[in-house]
Amino acid sequence: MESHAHGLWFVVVSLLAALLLSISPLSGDWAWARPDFVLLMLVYWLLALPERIGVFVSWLCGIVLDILQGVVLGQNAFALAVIAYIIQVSYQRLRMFSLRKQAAFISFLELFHILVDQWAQNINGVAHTHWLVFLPALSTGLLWLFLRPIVGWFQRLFAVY
Amino acid sequence: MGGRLLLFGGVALALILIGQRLDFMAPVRTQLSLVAAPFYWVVDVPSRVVGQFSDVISSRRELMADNERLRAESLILNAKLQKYIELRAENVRLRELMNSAERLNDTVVVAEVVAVASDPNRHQLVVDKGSRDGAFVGQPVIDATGLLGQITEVGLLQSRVLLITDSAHALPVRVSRNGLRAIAEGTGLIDELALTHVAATTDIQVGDLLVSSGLGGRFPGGYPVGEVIEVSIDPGQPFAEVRARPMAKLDRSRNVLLVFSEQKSEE
Repeated sequence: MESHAHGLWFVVVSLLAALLLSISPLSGDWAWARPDFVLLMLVYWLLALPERIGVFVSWLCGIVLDILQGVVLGQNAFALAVIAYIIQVSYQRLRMFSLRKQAAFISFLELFHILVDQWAQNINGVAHTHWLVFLPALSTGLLWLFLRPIVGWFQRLFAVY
Repeated sequence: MGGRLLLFGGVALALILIGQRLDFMAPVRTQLSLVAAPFYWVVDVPSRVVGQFSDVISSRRELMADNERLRAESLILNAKLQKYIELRAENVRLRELMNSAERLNDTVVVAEVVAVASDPNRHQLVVDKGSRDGAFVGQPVIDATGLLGQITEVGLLQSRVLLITDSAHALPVRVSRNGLRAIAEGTGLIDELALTHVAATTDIQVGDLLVSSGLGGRFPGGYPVGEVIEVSIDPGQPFAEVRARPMAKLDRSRNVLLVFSEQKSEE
C-alpha cells in the first residue's frame, strides 16, 4: 500500500454486493444456475488491482461466504485462496486474453471451486451430489462476458486504482 | 505470495478437515454467525418492503374477505377446541388409569424465516430467533401443518433449521393408523420423504398419516410428518419402497414455530 490508493471503497462495496447476491433468494430451479458472484468479483479485482487484492482478501471473502451459506467452514475460503494464487501468478497473461477466453478460464476456476465444495461436504458427511451442481460453472463463465465491461465502466467512473 | 497461500490455504484446509469433529468448533460457529445477521437483514429488505407495501394498498374488500375467512376459521377452530378439551381430559384420565406419565403441553415460540439456503442441494432455513430467545441445537421446528425440521446451528440472533427433506436428515416416525414404526429419510427433494427398511410384507398403504414417534428423543411424539403417497413392492427386493409427502409447507412457510417440549421431570 505504498503508492496512494484511490476509490478502494468501491472494491469493498462490490465485494459486499457479491456476497449479498450469493445469499439472496432465487426462485426454484434458477437457484441451480446461480453464478458465483463472489468469484467473479474477486477475479475482476485480482486482475485489475493485483498489488492490492490478493490471497488474503479472497480468503476473507471465502470465510464470510462459508458463514453466510452455513456450509463447512473453510470450503469457500480454501477454494478462493487457491484461485487467488492461480490468478496472481498468471495475471499478466490473463489480462491479454480475449473476453471469451477469460470466460472459459473462469468456468474452469468455478469448476475447481465446485469440486472443492463437494469434496469438503463429502468428508463432513453432508453432501447430496446432483449433476446440476456443476451448472454454476457455465453461468459464471457466461456472466463474466457482461460483468467485466460493466464493472470496468464503474472502475473508471470512480477512478479506482 | 506462495507463503500467503500456504498460510491461509493451510488454515482453511485445517478448518475443513476439523469440520464439526472437535467440540470447540460449535461455539466458534455461534460467534461467527453474528457476522451473518446484517447480511441476512439486508437480503430480507425487499420482501419486507413488499410486505408492508401490500399491507398499505390492500383494498377494503380484500380486508373484509380476509376478516370473514378468519372469523369462519376461528369459529371452526373453536368448535374443534371444545372437542379437544374434552378429549384431553379423557386422555389424562386414561393415562392415569394406565399409570403412565402425563405428557405436558408443548410451548411454542413463533419465528420468522429470514433466509433460505442459497444452495438448492441443501434444505435449510434461517429463522430470526437465536440463543437470546432460548433456541437450542436440536430443537424441533414445526409449522401450522406439520413437522418442519430441527435447529442445527444457533447464533445469538438467528438460527439455522435443517428441514426434514434434506438428504442428511432422518427421523423416527410412526404410522398413525397402526403404530408401525419406520425411519423417514430426506431425499433432497423438497416434496418427498423416503421410508427406509420397511419390510415388503408390512401393512402400509397410500394415504397413511405418518406422525413423529418420539423415539430417538429429539422430536416430541405425535406431530404430523407426512402422508404416504406411494408404496411399491418388488417381490425381488427385501424391502418395500415407500415414499411420503411432507405435511409441513416446507417451501412456503414464512412463519414457523420453535417447540419447547416440557419433558416431565423424574420426580
